[in-house]
Amino acid sequence: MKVIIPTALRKHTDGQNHLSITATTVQDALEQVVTAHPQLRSSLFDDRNQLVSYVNVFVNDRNIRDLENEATPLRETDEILLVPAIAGG
Amino acid sequence: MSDQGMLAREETARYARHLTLPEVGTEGQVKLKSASVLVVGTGGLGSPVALYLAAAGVGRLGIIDFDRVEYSNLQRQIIHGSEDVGRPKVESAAESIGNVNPLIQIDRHDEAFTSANAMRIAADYDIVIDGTDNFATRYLVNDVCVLLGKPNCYGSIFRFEGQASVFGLPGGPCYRCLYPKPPDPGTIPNCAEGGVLGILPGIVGTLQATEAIKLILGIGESLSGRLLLLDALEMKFRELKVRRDPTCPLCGDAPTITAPIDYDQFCGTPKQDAAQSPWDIEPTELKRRLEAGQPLTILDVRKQHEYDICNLGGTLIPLDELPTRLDELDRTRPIVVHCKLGMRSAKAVQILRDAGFPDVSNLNGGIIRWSKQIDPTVETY
Ligand SMILES: [Zn+2]
Repeated sequence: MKVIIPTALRKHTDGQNHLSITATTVQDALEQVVTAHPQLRSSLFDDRNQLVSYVNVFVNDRNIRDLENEATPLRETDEILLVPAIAGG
Repeated sequence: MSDQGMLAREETARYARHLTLPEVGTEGQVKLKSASVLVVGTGGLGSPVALYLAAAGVGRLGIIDFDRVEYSNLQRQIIHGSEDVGRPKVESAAESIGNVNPLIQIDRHDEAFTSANAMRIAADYDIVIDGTDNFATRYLVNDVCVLLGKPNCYGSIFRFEGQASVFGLPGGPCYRCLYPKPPDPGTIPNCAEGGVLGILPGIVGTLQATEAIKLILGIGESLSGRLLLLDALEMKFRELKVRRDPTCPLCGDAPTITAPIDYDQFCGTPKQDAAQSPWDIEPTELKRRLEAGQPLTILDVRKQHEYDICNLGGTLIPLDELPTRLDELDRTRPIVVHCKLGMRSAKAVQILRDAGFPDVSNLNGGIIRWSKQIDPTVETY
């Protein structure tokens, strides 16, 4: 499955706009992503290892807050999007 | 229809292509004429929004901006022209709008949109467009819209990416439902630091204007409850579901925010005179030291392209290269570090202090504050 990396976070993934992984839950997917790219961790998790509230995680078109948060199960065809707040205008 | 229903002959000519559309027609055009829209910010997003809403015949357009036109705006803020550099943006924008459509009313608000004036200003409009460029004002626009019951046509851009939605419609979510808290300052670069493709606000702003027109006409499917994401490099639009959060402190079932708050505090925006580093120095102090001829190294930790716009003649070592280029600096000389606003240089000061440099200080407020307080000939961006 694909994890889509937004522009604002690509500096932590050597410019890659998506990562391909195999995971069973969102938690598992995010762990794999920050393990592969440790610099991403501080952009996604706070000091208490909670997901920061200014980056939304979507599975396909659904916010994981409206699903089962990090326990949300994944299928191979799912697309995971990291959507940080942006403010430019 | 009331008297308002009458369109003058010059209006029927001007809006002929609307009048031909069954979904608009005379009735719709009169709705547009009777409508009022507040465009917050006349920058990248506000430019196309204001021009298109004016062209479409929205009867009364409010524009609010405290800024003046700079050269670095012209790459995307198409409501302003080269000869407008230095003018108040509101004045320049009003002139362009008047050229596009002299039949509409333009309200100029040449001031910042703040907690103190936002409720009073926004109360006078049917719809608010968020064309701001910082988190503090975005939360302010959102809160004011929900508190007043006005739709907020939202758009935001960064580099090659855009977001658009409509917040604050009955039953729909607000910006806080999507992003309960803003990022810590410095975690997400703004467009001044991160750059933005000049055309991008043109795409996103026209989406916002489209949503405003649809709301006025009462046609189509609103973007409320949907977040449209644009990646201009892939040229891909994605549509995500956004639900109202019953626990939202603003639009939830038991709201706790009942009036505008202190958004600089909420967003942790550094106040210009607030400390950025334990080793801050004021621009006046740097000026005094330079004039006294004291030996010192000015270290600029911005990027080359920023240096090319303006500089204080300092040594350029971008922040991310600093840790590997320490040996280029003379440890025996006092060092004053600066960047654009003082945040990156504060980090650089810490890096140098940690590496054992004995006398390193941070130019508070960066080159921008230097330009404002000491030397206005230094170009800002
Ligand atoms: Zn809300």
